[in-house]
Amino acid sequence: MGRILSFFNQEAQLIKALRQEDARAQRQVYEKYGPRMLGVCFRYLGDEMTAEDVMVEGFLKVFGKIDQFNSEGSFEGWIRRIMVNEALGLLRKRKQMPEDILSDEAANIPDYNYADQNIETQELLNLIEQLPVGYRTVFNLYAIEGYAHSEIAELLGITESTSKSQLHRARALLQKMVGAWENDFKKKLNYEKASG
Amino acid sequence: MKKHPVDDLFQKRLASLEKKPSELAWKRIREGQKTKSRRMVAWVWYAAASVVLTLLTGYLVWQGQNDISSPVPGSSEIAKVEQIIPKKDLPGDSISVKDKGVLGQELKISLPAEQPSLAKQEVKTEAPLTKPNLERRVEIDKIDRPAPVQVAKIEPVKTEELKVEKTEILQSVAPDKVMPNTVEMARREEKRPDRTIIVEVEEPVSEGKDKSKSRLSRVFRQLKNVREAEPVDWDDVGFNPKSIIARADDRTNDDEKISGKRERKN
Repeated sequence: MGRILSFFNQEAQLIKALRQEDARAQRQVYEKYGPRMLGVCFRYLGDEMTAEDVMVEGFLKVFGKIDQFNSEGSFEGWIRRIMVNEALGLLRKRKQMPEDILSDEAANIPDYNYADQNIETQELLNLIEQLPVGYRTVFNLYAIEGYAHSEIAELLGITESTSKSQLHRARALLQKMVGAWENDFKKKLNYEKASG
Repeated sequence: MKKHPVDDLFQKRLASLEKKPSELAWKRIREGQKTKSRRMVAWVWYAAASVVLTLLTGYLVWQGQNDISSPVPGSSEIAKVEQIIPKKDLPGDSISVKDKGVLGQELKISLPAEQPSLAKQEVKTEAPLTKPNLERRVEIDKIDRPAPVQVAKIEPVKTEELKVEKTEILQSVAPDKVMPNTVEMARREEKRPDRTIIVEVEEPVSEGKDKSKSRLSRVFRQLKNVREAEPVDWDDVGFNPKSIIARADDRTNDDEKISGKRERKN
C-alpha cells in the first residue's frame, strides 16, 4: 500500500493522473480520503452501511467528474462537497429533510457556556445521531462543514430563517445531551472515588 | 465572529472523523466504473445508429422531394440538342466561319419566330473548327407552349443553308489565341423559303415513374401537398379517409335503426 501511496507525491500530479483515468491514482485517492469521507457521510446518515453506499457513489462521481475540478480550490474540499451533496441527495430521497414544524423537545433548555473536553468522539457521534434528521443536517452543514445559512437554505430548499431556527434548536438539544452526559460522567467519577 | 461552544466542540472532534471503509467498498467503486464505461460505449453505439438512421431518412425525404419537383406549366424550358453537321455540308450555309485555327469559337444565332408555335427560337452553334465536324447546339426557348417537358431533336439539316433573319454572334475565345482578321463574321442572308427544320418532340412518360416510386415517397409527396394546402391525391396515399368516415356513419345509422326496431317491438 505504501508503494502505491508514494507513487504520486503531489496533488497536482495526482489530479492529472485522475484525469487520465489512472487506476493507481484512483486507488491512492480512495486510500487517502476514503476514511475521512466515510466519516462525513456517517455524520449525516447515522448508519455505517448507508454511509458506505453514499461514499462509493461519491467516489464514482469524483472519478467521473474530475474534469470539472478546477485546481484553484482544495481537492479535499471538492471531494467533501460531493460527499455532502450525495448524503443530502439520499436524505432528500428518503424525504427526511428539515421541516418548518419544530418539535417542542428543544424548548426551555439551559444554556451551557462550556463543553466538556473529556467527552469522547464516539460519544459526540452518538449524540449527533440522536438528533432529528433535520436538526442534524443543518448542524452538520453549519457547525462542522462551515456552510452559511444562505447556502444551507439553497442546498436543502428551505428558507434561511428555517435554517437558523433548526440550528438553534439542534444546539440546544446537543447542550442538553452534553449536560446530561456530563452529570453522568461526574457521578461515575464520584462513585469510583468513593468505592476506590 | 465567536463560535458557539457547542459548535466548537463538535467541529474540533468530528471534522476530521475517520471511519474505515469495508474491503468491499473499493471493489464496488471499480465495478461501478466499469459499468459506467460500458454505458458510455453503449451510448456511443446508440448515437452512431441514430445518426445513420437520421441520414438515411433525410436522404429518402430528399429523394422524394426531388421526384416530386415537376416543372411548372408555362415556365420557359430550354431543350438542348447537339447536332453534328458534317463539314462538307457547311459551305453553302449562311453561318460560315472561315477561320479554322481558333478553338472554342461559339456562334449564337437568334432566329425570329417564323413558325407560329414558337415564340422564340435560338440557334446556338459551337464551331470547334479543328475537328472535322461542327457541333451545332440549338437552344429553343418555349414560352407559350403548355407542354411541361419537351425534348427537341433536330435531324441533320438537309438543306445546306439556314434562314437567319437576325443573327447574334458571340465569340468566347482566349485572348492570346485570337488572331486579327482570321474570323469572318457569319454572313446574314435574307429570308430563304427553302429552310427545313424538323423538330421531334418527345413527351416524358411521368406515370411509369410514379408507379416505380416507393410508397413512402408518394406518401411524403402527399404530406407536402397537405402542408402547402394543395389538393391531396388519396390514391397515392393508399386510403381515403372520407370513405372510412362514410362507412362508420353507415354503421351508426344501422345500429340506430336496429335499436329503434327493438324499441318498437318492446
